[in-house]
Order: sequence, then C-alpha cells, then structure tokens
Amino acid sequence: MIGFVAKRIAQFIPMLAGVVVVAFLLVQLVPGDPARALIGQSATPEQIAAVRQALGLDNPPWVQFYNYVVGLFHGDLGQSYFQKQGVFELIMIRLPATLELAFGAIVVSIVIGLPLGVVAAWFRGTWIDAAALVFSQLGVALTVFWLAIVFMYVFAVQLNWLPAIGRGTPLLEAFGLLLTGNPQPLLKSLSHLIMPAVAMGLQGAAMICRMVRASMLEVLDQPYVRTARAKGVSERRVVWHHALRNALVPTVTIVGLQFGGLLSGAVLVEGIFGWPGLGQLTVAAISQRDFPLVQGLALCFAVLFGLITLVTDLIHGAIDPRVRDE
Amino acid sequence: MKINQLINHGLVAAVMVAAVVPAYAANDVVRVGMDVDAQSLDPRTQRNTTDVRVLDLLYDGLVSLDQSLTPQPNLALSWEQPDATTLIFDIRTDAKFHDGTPVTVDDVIYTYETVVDPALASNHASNLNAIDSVTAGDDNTVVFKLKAPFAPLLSYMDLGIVPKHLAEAGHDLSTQPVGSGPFTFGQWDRGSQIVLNANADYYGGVSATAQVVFVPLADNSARAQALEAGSLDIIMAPLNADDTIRLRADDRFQSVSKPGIKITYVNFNTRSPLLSDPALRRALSMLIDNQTIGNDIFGGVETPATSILMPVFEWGYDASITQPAFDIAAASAALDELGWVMGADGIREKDGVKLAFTLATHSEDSARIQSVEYIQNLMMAAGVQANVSISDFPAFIGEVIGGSYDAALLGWDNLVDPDVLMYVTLHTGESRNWGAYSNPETDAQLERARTAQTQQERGEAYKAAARLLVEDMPYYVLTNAGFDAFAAADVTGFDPDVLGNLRSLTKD
Amino acid sequence: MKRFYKNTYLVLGAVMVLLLVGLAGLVPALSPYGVEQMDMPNRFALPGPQHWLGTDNFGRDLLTRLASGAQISLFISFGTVLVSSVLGIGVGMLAGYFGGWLDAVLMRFADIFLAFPAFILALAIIAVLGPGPVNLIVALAAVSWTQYARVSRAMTMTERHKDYILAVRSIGVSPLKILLVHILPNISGPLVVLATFGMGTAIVAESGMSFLGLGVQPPTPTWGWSLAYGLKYLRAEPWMSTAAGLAITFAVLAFNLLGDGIRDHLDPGQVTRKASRKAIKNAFQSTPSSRQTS
Repeated sequence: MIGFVAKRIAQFIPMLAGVVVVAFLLVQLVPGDPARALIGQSATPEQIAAVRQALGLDNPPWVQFYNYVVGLFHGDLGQSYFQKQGVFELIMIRLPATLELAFGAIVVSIVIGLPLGVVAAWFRGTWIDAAALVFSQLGVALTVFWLAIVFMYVFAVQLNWLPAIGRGTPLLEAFGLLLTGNPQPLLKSLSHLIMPAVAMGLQGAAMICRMVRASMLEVLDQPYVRTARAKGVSERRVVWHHALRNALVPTVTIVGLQFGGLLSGAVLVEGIFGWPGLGQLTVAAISQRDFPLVQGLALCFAVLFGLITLVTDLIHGAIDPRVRDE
Repeated sequence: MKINQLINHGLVAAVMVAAVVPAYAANDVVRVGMDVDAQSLDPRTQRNTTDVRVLDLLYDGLVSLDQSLTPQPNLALSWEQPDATTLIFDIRTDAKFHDGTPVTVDDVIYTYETVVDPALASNHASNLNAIDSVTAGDDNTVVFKLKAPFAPLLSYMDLGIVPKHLAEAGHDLSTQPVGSGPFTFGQWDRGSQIVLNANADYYGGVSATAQVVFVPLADNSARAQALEAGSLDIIMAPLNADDTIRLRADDRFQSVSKPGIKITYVNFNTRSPLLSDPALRRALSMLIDNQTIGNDIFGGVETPATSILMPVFEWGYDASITQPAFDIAAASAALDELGWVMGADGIREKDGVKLAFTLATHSEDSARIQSVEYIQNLMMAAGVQANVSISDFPAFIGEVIGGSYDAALLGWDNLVDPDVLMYVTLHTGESRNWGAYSNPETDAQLERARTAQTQQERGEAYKAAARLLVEDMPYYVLTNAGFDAFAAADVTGFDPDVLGNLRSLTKD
Repeated sequence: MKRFYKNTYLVLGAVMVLLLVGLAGLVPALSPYGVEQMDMPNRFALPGPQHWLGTDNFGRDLLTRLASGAQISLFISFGTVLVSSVLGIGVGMLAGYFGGWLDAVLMRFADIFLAFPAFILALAIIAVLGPGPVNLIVALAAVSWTQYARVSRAMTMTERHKDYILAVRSIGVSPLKILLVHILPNISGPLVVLATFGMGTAIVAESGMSFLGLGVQPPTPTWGWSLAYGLKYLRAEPWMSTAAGLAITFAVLAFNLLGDGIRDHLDPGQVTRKASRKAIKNAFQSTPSSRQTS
C-alpha cells in the first residue's frame, strides 16, 4: 500500500509542475492589468507604472516565473495583490467553507441517491421504479445555478424556513458544541448549508441512483441468485448484502468524479448564497487579475484533486479486491 | 486555525459588549448588503463604492456633503476664503481618533500631503492637484494655498483625516483603519463581513445604531432576496430593475429613491476613422432610444438623460439643451446626406467601406449588456452594423483606456460636481479623455467653470459647454442613474444620501 | 431491430434528439417572427395565440428564439465533443498502444488538464482568445478532452493483447492502420456513450458561460443568455427563465437518454456489459468526468 501511495505521489509531482506552468502562462496571456484593476478607472499612467513596479510586474516574464518558483520551493505562494495577505493564508481561511459545502453536497448525493437506487431495484417495474428513473434523468439535466436561485426564492423568501445567505458556525465546531450539550449552533449551521448543498448534490444523487439501481439489478439478475431465492430467505439476505456491496463501487466512483465537478460548481453557488469559500475567492481573483491568488488557487485545486483521486482509489481497493490487481 | 478561533471568539465578545454598552441604541445591529467587498479602509486609497460607504462611518473629513451635496462643517468648524487662491479652515478641538489621541492640525496637513504622493496611487490625487501647499495657521487653523482658483475644491474636502502618528509608525490603515468617525473598526473577515461598532467618544454624540455590519454579496437578485428573507437590513444600488420596482411597492420595506450622481453613457472614440466626424456621431445618436433604455431596460431606475448636464446640480442644468432625439427616419436621411448608401446586405456603404463598428461593454452589468443589444438592433434598422463585444471589466477598460475601441458603453460614478464629469474626461489632453476629444471652445468653457467664483457663473459655463457638446457628441449620455436603497421596517435613521452614505443611522 | 424498439431509452432519446434538431431547423425558417425582431411594448408576454411560448425581455418571440438557440447550442456542443473526442481518442490510443515512455508523457500531460480547475481554465482561455462560438468550443474542449483519452487508453491496452490484434501485427500491418481500422471500431461503444453525455454537459457549460456574460456574444440567441436575462427578472416574469431552463433540460435529457440507450443497445449480454462498464469504471478511477463550469 505504501508503495502504491508513493507511486501515486511520484506521478503527481510532474502534474503539479505542469499546473504551475500552465497557470503562469494563462495569467500572462490574459488581457487586463492588475495595477489598473487595483487603482481604478481614474488611474494616471504614472500611478499605474508605480504600482506595477511595486508588484514586480515590470520584470520580464521569465524573471517573474523564476521568482515565483523560488518562492514555491520555500513554501511561499506569494502575496495577493488586492488583499495584502499571503495567498496561502487566504486560501487556508476559506478552504474549510468550500470543503464543508462539497462534503454537504456529497452527503446529499448519497443520502438521496443510494436509498432511491436500492428502492428502485427492489420495486423494479413498478411506478416507484419509474419515478426514480425519471428523477435520475432529470436530476442530471437541471442546471445548478438555476436551482440555487429558485431554492432561495422558495425556501428563504416565500416560506422563510431557511436563511438566505451566509454560513453558520463551522461544522466541526458546531459538532463539538453539540457534544457539550448545545445543539443550537449545529442546527443553525445546517440551516445555512442545506440549500447550497442540495442544489449542488442533486446531480450526484441522480447519477448515484441510476448506477446503484443498475448494479443491484446486475447482481439480482444472475442465474444463481434466482436459484438462491428459490431456496430460502437466508440466502436471499446474503444475496442482497452482495448486491449492495456491488452497488457501493459505482457510488464511490461517482463521488470521486463529483468532487472535481463540485469544486467548479461551488464557484457559481457560493456567489449566489454568499458562502465564504474558495469559489467566491476564485471569481474575485480572476476578475481582479490577482495573479498570485489565481496561481495559488490553481495549485490548491490541483493538490485537492490529487488527494481525492488517491483516496478514491484506496477506497476502491478496499471495497473491491478485483480492482486492486489493476 | 488558532487565529481564526481567536477572531471568532473576539467577534462573540464584541457582539456581547456592543449589546451591553449603548443601552439606548435605536438599532442594535444593522446589516448592510454591498455588491463587492471593500478594498482599502484608508481614505486616501479608497478604490470602490463599498470603501466609500465604510470610510464615511469610520472617518471624518474637514467637511461633509449633505443631501444636496453642499459642504457642511465636520472636523472644520468654519472656513473662509480671503482670496481666490487661499482657503483657511478652523479645526475643532474636541475630536479624537479611535485610539484616544486628539485630532490636530498636523493630522490634517499630513493627510493632504500624503494623499498626492504617487506611491499611494490615490484616486483623489487628480481632484486635489490644485493644492499648492498646506500649512498650519494661527490658532488651530489650516491654510490651503492653491496654484490657481479652483471652485469645486470644497466638494472634495470630505476626505477622511488619518492619524499621522499611526501612519508614520507604519500602521497599515487600509486593513486596520483608525479614524475619528462615529464608528470604530471591529473586524474585517474578507469576503464575509466588515463589523463597525459605535464610537462611545464621538464628538457628535454616540450613534443611535450600535453596530453596522457590511456584507458583500455579488449577485443582485440574491441581495434583494436576502433583504426580503430578513437576512439583511439595508440594501442599495446596484440592484436589478425588476427587484427595485417590486421592493418599492412592498410596504414591508422603507425605500429611498433620489436622483443620483452617476451617468451611463456611450463613449465614442474620435480617433477611429469612422467616428471622427461629429456629423456621423450625431446621426448615430439619433438611433439610440434612451427613453426605452431608461424606462424599460433600466426599469425607470435610471432616468433618460437630456444632455451631459445632470439635473441633480440644479444651478448647472438646462433641460432645453438636448442631445439629438431618437428618430430613425431623420437618422437615415442624415446618413444618406453624408453619402452612406444602403447596400444589398442591408448595411450602408461609402467608397467601399461598410458602416460598421464595434460597440463594447463589460460583462458584469446585465442592463448595460441589454442596452447594447437593443442599440444594435435599432441601428440595423437604419443600415448601421454595430458589432457587440463583451468582455470582463479589466479587459474591457484596458481596451478603452488604451484607445483601441470604437464605441464603448460604460458609466461614471461619484460625480459630486460637474467638474468631475467633464473636465478630466473631455478637456483636450486630460488623462481620462480616452476618446481623444478636442475642442478649444469647450476647453475654454470648462476652464472658466473651474476658476469662476460664483455658482451662477459656473452654471453658465457648463451650459455653454453642454451646447458645444451636443453638437460634437463625443459622448452620448444615456441615463442619469437614480439612487435607490431599501431597508427593513424596523431600521431607524434610514436616510442615505446620494453617495449611499449611511451617517443618518447615527441619528435617532 | 427488434432490440432497438424494445429499448425505451434509446427510442425516447432518439426521438427527442430528432425533435430537437427538427425544431432547430424548421421553426426559424417557418416562423412569422424574425429571430432579432424586437417588440418592446410586448415584453415578457406569456404563451398565447400570438406567441406560442411567449416573448423575452425585448419582446422577441421565445419559440423562434429558443429554436434558433438550439442551433447554436447543438453547434457548440457538437463542436466541443468533436474536438475533445478526436484529441482525446488520438492521445489515448497512442498512449495505450505504444505504452512505455510515450504513455507516461502523454498521460502526465493529460493529468495537468484534469487537475487544473475547469472554471479557471475555461474563463482564462475565453479571456485570452476573446468571446465567440469557436473560442468557446476551444475552451470547453480543453476542459473535457481528457476523459476520452483515459477511456480509449484503457480499452486500447486491453485490445492490444488480444489474439486478433497479435495476428494482424504479425503480418506486418502498420500501427496506424491497426489503430484506426482494427482497434477503433471495437472500442467505439463506450466512446459513443461518452460523446452523447458530453453533448449534454457542453450545453450546460455554454449556458453557464453565457450566464456570466462571457459566452457567445449577443445578439446570438443562445439558451444561456435567455436563462441569464430571465433570472434577472425572475420574480416579476418567471416564465422566460423557466422556458429557457426547460429547453436546456430537454436537450440534456435527450442526449442522456440517447447515451443510456446506446449503451444498453450495444451490450445486451451480461458479459460484455460488465466488461465495458468495468473498463469505463477503471478508466474513470482517476478521472472526474463531470467537468463542467456550471
């Protein structure tokens, strides 16, 4: 296992290097001057020149790249042009919020998708199955930002059940407070989390439902299963256990696939709900041409992606021994 | 993470303290929704409108502008102008910075000296260029000497005064502001909130609002919905026209609607070979239907403009001076006269050149995008091909400032005096004259308006300039923006001025 | 053929796609309204005898507009799928067939595009190249080509060792011919499935980019613009964004059903179905396929 992990990490190094280079290239090519974005419309040419010099933008590109890479080796991601703070700190402050959102979306996907898929397989052929199938098809087609705005309108404005914007206490803290006997912060956090999480998680739920149903049916259709059923209850239980286990594999696969998409989807959803995560930070960084921040975010997402694939593969290996032999 | 926890606990403590201290507070907490996060909380390096609103509560300037944009005493008790190039302010002695030190003449001098320092790249620098020197006079007075008479200067002297001793010691005011205003700085969670607490030692009395929290929320619809859901107490422009109309009609919310100090306009690049002829610009202007744009696309939130003169400055406004009116038939006739013949593909031609140009705007404002789409549609009817080009703001403004555009639709904000709108943008050779417009007669009028000593004479000069501008049409002014703000019913002291400033919250 | 009709997804999907293509072609041609024809006094009309789907924020007929929008959406999504699949399959097959250092290099190259956040990449490419349908295709293809590479690589690796390939190699057929003539047809099943899902994803991505104002330029009638403007007016005039949202949902549904149907049609037997699903699953082990920017 150690060998597997080490091999994976070795593969990620060139990838991360590539991401750094691509990010830097893109940032150099995109039109728009950060100095001007910093000062505003009324900037005079002298002011722009002064700010460019202060930010090191008047150096030729290879010098800027060299300085950046040297900084990386010292663990320094640079300073944000706009927020006068280290890029690393800025990202770290907001990372938990986005992870919370992604985690919430995944929980929603599994909690809705898995049981629905199981139920559809159990009641195969009935209207329940048909309803689940309709959901599984529609869920993938609905656009996340449309859902988000509609949810906010229905649940926050019309029904006033849920707060429209913002984030409650960080989930981990809220759980801690729950253990000390105070459930309020957790309830509040969940009330803020639920709308964005559902908006983002419905697509995953639809896919999981479909995959789970198909996997379970695949097992249940096997000839030996029918024989087992005929033989008696206890064997049917073993069969269901096996079918469910079979269904977990595509679930994990989809969750792994979803994570990458979730990080992207968070960008639009965070803006709508005022969720203080990396998505909002990315939008702001790009529209302000905050180069170090954009590069830092690209690197951060790439690292997250690497970690997620590693974890997904490990879980795959744990669940399904056949996969390990690949 | 530890720092984060400390901040969190600090916030809890601050809220508890704020809840206890001003026992007679009319409002406990007022949450104000803004479209962008603040950028700098140092008044000298203010960058966007959120900065302006937060700074107004944290700092005091020599004067403050009232609802009619007339300067009123603030840190300055009174002022006099012994001659056209001298301005003397008498500074009050009972004002203190939030760290307890008194505000003195030295702080005023320091602020005005450093604001023009190129290293700060201040947006105020060009407005304050007329100042030659700032020195201490007798008895708590500050003497400003000007290079030349400059009438609008007083309107720019609401610049917040910064504490010299802190700034010189290297304290970064842009992230840790220390002012002398009615609110002190609580904390700033980037992208989430800026918390301000009432200043118990304010010379003007403790604010009736105990705490103000600014919340950045980019999406206009989301901000309106947050107000309706009770998650925000105050929201203000920019807002969608749809939401504005609905909220105005909703009795649950207080609403304020006033003429604003912002314009939306089309900037013609006079360097472009096609657009260098004023006659063509006038003809194209006749194809712009700013009534429909103002009333329908902007939902009446912005009123159609008659010319570059703004109604909010009554002394300098004349409704009879008008830009070419919307008239497709007249425009077609004018284009025919200029030699542009309708081609087989529905686009006019002259000497083998098509009447085609690019109309650009930025992606962040959907009303502007719709305006551009609408204008393009109208122009097609007369055989003019306007190609729409939309990019995000930094790329867009880079092209405009660089002069590589044909026509651009954008706006000007914070126009506290007509000089701000017209001089630096339309005077020959000035830094914001991106379209390279040049007319010596217009220059003369703009200069006259700057140096004239009476408001009436300034008004005459601006009207004369406007008459020249509706002939030359370097700008087609589409609308004068209104200013709309809404608040929950239980917010007392809700009376923002046209800048969107919320000093009124300090009053009962 | 009988199998075809028994396969509900396939039939439904095919019908919906044909309907979409048909409407996209016929409605603008037959409609009494021009695509650009504005009618400000009649903005936001609800569906009625004059306008079957109502009008948009400029009073333009929504049915004509959305049908034209289908043309653009189909063009962009087809273009995206074409570019990303050609690039991805090319890279993947080369990596899978030759193996060794070529495989390592190509796959690391693919990994970079995989790991790079889709949103930033697409936005940056649009910012650099400028807006427009072709540039949008480039941006969306850049974000989605790697999944084709992964799948075709995995399947090529499996096929490479099979007897019929060894046989052909032994008689000296050129690698290129082997790849194109012998291997490609045998791995096309899952790839076609990917392509149909990719069409749906590209449509949603285009609408997301237009929602941000950075997709195709107005007045091109894309669904993304209709959705974006509609959302700005959601409270007073909910129909416009609903119509646009439904159009997008319909199209994505059509392609997804088609994809499901093709998948089921190609692998009716359990053995091959399991094998191809396992191949996709293994290929996807490290491959987020839902690379969308919305």
